[in-house]
Amino acid sequence: MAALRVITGGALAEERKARPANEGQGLIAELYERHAPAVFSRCRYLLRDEEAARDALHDVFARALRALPEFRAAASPTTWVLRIATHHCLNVLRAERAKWRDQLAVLARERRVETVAPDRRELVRALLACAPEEAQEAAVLYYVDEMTQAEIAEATGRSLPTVRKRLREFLTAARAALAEALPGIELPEGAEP
Amino acid sequence: MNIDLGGPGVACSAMRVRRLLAGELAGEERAKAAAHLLACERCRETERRLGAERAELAVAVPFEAFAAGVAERLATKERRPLRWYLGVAALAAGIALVPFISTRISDDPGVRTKGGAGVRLYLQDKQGPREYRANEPVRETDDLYAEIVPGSRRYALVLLAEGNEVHAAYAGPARGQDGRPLVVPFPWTGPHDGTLYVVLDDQPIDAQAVRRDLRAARRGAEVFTFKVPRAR
Repeated sequence: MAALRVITGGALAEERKARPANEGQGLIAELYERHAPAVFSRCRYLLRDEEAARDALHDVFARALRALPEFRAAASPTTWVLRIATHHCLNVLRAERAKWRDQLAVLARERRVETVAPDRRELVRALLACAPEEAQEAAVLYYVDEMTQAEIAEATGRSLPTVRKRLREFLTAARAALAEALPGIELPEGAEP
Repeated sequence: MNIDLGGPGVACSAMRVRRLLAGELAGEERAKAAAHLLACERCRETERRLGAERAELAVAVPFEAFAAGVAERLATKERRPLRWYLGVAALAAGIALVPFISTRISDDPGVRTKGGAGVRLYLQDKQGPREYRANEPVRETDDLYAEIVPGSRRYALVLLAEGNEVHAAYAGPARGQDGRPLVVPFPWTGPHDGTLYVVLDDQPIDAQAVRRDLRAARRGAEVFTFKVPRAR
């Protein structure tokens, strides 16, 4: 046996150095089990492309690992990582602006029976492209994640009036886009959050 | 035709269902959400939809592909600050590190093998991964990995002493998942020379006690030491 040696030394260094490697190995599995299903679903919903969603999934979790202390400190890791995913996908979509803006027209073309309303979630997704950038994330959090305005304000660090304003901006843009692309479909007046 | 885009209901929220299922709610909030879920068809539908997401992921992106994809992203962007995470992701994916491991036990005089137990050190520099040579200076840009060869030992503790600090790099079973070799990437970003200690034992090791004083290691445990000088 090698000679034993007393190790003097103080407290653990910062968390990164002290984190046992087995915790790290388990971390990847934990992220996959607990959060990857929601993130992949969000990426697939927004991007509508399996391969692009896979790429986005990897990007989102690489980013989460880089910001691990922030992730761990989040009041709701689920909300935190879904916001990262939403933000990432909206950026990807903005990079394909022309294609994205065409999606409401595609939805209109695919709507074969005019008496049947389009799928609510699909309509929200298509309408996002027409909304101002700042309003897009608020719309996803409100209409897809069904978070209250107060919850959105807390998660995004915005004030409640700002969240309300963003949602109104989204609805204004959505109404205009619907009038043009799907004239038979209207959002009810007084639907403002 | 009017269409409702949805949004949160009086008590309905897809995110709240998510958080409930993820165990992120507590106390009264958890109790209220759970009670609401039982009584609300809309939220139960949400629960079913969320449940399907897991199966869809398993088919579209199996865990190995997930871990490999994340490791690839970490490797291609901002590599320097990410050494620890890259190693972890690569280990989880079962890629990259293990194929580079040779079978020779290090010649470092501090290394002892007993009952087949031992430790192999690997260094990855610009030229790629290779076995670490005894007392070889390690640059800050290099990555170090320790492979545990547990023999009959069941538990391992890996400590890195550096200056006046001792960091626990690993504490747990001496074998990796599914019996694979355990490869421990250890973070070493400080400027001082370091000493790597690997303790192998048949019984669980009190990592905190041994980290404070190596003499706390149980009698009968094996201790391996590697001097790892920092390149100047």
